[in-house]
Amino acid sequence: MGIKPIAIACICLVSLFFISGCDMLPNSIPGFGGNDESSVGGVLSASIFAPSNNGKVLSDYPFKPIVKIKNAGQFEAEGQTCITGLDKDVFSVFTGCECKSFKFEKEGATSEFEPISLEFGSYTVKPQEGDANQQFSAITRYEYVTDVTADLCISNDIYEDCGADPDAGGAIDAKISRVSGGPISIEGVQETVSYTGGSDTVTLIFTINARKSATGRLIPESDLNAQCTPVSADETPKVQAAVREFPITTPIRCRDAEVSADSTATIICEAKDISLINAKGQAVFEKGYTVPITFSLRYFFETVASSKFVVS
Amino acid sequence: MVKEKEHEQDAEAGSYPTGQKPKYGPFDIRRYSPTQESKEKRKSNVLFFVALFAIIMLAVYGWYWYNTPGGERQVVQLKNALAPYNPATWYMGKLSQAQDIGNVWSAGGGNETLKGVLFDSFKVAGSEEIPQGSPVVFAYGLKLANAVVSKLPLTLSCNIKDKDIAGDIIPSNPLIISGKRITQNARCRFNSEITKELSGTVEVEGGVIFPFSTTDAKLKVYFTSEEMEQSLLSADEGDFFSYLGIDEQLPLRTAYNGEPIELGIGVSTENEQPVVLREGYNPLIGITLNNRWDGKMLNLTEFRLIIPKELSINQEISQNPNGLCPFTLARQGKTTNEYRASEELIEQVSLEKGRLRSFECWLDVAPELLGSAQYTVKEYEAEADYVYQLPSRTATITVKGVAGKETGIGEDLLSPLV
Repeated sequence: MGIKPIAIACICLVSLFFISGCDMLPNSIPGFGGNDESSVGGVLSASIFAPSNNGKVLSDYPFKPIVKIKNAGQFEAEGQTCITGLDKDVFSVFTGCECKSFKFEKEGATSEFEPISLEFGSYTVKPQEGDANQQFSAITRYEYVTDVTADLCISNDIYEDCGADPDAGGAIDAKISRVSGGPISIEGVQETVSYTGGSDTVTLIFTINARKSATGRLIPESDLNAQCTPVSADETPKVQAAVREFPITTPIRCRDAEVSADSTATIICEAKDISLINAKGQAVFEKGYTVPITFSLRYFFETVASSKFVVS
Repeated sequence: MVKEKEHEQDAEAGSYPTGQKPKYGPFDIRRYSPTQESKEKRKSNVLFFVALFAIIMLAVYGWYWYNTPGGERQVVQLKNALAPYNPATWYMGKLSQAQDIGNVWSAGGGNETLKGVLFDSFKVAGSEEIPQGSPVVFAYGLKLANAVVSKLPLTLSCNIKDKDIAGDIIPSNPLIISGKRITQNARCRFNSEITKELSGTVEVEGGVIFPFSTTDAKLKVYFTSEEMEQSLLSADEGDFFSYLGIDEQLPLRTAYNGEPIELGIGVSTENEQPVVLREGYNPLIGITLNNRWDGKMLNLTEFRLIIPKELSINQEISQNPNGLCPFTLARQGKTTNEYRASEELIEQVSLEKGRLRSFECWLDVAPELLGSAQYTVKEYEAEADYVYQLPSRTATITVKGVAGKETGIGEDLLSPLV
C-alpha cells in the first residue's frame, strides 16, 4: 500500500522526462520547424518549413530552403512551387527563381495524401558583417478540383412532386449528398425547373454557389507553369464546371464563372429539353425519383508563403 | 423702571442717535457698533497699508539681495536659463524651419536614448566667490552616452563672456577620449593674471565640439516588376506586402539611434514601397540629414552612400555631382557600389537645431537586379561624419576686489584676505 504513491511519483517523473525531451526534437534545431502549418478545412497548403520564420541561418554554410506541401482535400493535385525574393548577392547560385514540381497520388482509395517536402538549393550564404535580415517567398501554383454531388428531383409534376414554386421561378434547393474539400468550397446547389414545349419537356438550370475559402487566389490556367512570372493581368481566372455523373443522356452545358470581389462565384449549368415521357408516351420519372448529379469545379490556384530570417 | 429712565437720559445726552433707542437697555453693545459698510472700508484700508508695507519691504530687501554677489550671480544664471524660451528666439527658429522645403525622409523608431557626447554641466570648481588675482577652475560635466569610440578628439573651449579672454584647458585640448566613457576630468583654468583684471559678476562660457558619425542608417528596399504590380491590381488582391504575407511596418524607414544627426532614406517623394521597376523609369534615392539635438552641426566631413551593385547614379538626370546629389563613385565592391560626396560640396553644409537638409539622386537599374524573380529585397545605406557643436553652458562667479582698489560691492568683506 505504501509503495503506491512512490510508484505514481516515479511514473510522473519519467513522463515529465519524456515530455521535456520533446523540446529536443527537430523543432528546436535552429532554422527548422517553426512554420509547419496543418491543412485546414480540407485544402492544399504550402508552408516554408526551413528556415523557420525569424529563424537563424549561418553564413558560409549550405542553405537549403524546404517548402512542405500538404493536401488535406481529396483531389490528386499537381503543381509547382517556386521560391523568389532571396538576395542574389547573399545567396550564391540563386538566380532569382527556382521551381520544383509536385504531384499528390493516393495509394489506396481511402488513404490520405502524404505530405511532400520540396528542397531547394543548396545555396552558399556569403559571409555577412553582423546579422543581416533576409527573406524569401514560396509561390505555389496548382490545379485543383472540387466535386459536389447533389440529388436532382425530376418528375412529371415537378411542382407537386418536387415542391417547386412556379411563382418563385420554380427554384428548389437540391440536396447535397457529397462534397469534396478544396480551396473553392460549395455553399449550395439550386435547381430551377421550367416546362418548355408543353408539359412533356423541361429545362433544368443548376446554380452552384461557391466560395473561395482558402487563402490565396485563383489564377488563369496559362499561368500554372509560369514559374516566378507574375500572373497575367490580361486574363481573368475562372472556375470551370463540368458534369461528371448524370444518368440522363441530355447534354448539360456549364458556363465558366469568375470569383467576385466578395470571394463568391456562381456557376450555372443548363440541361435543355429533358423529355419526361418515352417514345410510347409513358412517364419516365415516377414520383419521388431522384437522380444523383456530380459537378466538378476545376480551377487553378496560387498561394504564397513568406519567411523572414537572420543570416549571421 | 430705573433702567428705562437711564435710557432716556442717555438719549438726551446724545450717546446714541435719537430715535434709535436701544431696545435692550443702555448696556447693549449694538448701540456702539459701526455699520457693515464702515467696517469693510476700515478693513480694506488696513490691508492696503499692510500690502504697501510688504511691497516696500520686498523692494528694499530685493534691491539689497540683487546687490549682493550671490544675488547678481543668480540673476545672470536665471537670464541664461530663460534665454532658450525667449519668444523672439522661438519665432525666429520657426521662421528658419519654414525655409526647409522639399522632400523630407525621416527615420523611424523615435529612439529617445541619446548617442554621443553629452555636455551636462559647466560649474566652477570650488567657491563661486573668489578674490581678485586668485586662479579659478571650471569643471566640464561630460558624458559619452551609448557609444564606443576608438579615438574621439573633443575640442573644449571656455571664454569670459563678452571679453576675448580664453582659459587654459586641462589636461589637453583637444581632449582625446576612447572606449565607452569619458574617464578624464576636463577643466578650464583662468590664471591669476586674468582674474586680477576682473571684478564683480563674471560669466564664463564653456563649449564642446566633437566629431561624430551617424552610421547604420539602412533602408530595406523591395523591388518588383510592373507585371507584378499589374497582376496584383487586376486580381484585387490587396497590396504587395499583404499578398506575399510579408510583415513590414509601412512606410519602411531607417532606424534612428539617437545620434545628433538623424539620417532618413527614402525611395520616392511619397516613399512608397515596393519600388516598381518600369521601362524608362529611374528610381529615386533621397537622404535627409536632420539635426535632432540642441546644438549645431558645423560641417559635414564625409558623406557616404552604399547601394546594391545593380544600381548606379544616373549622372545625366541627377546632373551629378551637384549640391542636390553630391556623390561620386568611390568603390565598387562585389555586391555594392559605394559613393562619396565631394568635399567641396559638403563642407559648407551646416545645420542649426531642428533644421533639415535633403539630397536626391536618380538611379539607373541593371536588369539583373530582378532577373526572373517576382521581387527582390536590397538595402540602401548612408553614413555621415560631421563636426557637432553642443550648446554652450555658462557658469557665473563673483570676483571680489582687494582693499585699496575700486571693486564695488563687498570690498570691506575682503579686508581679512589682504
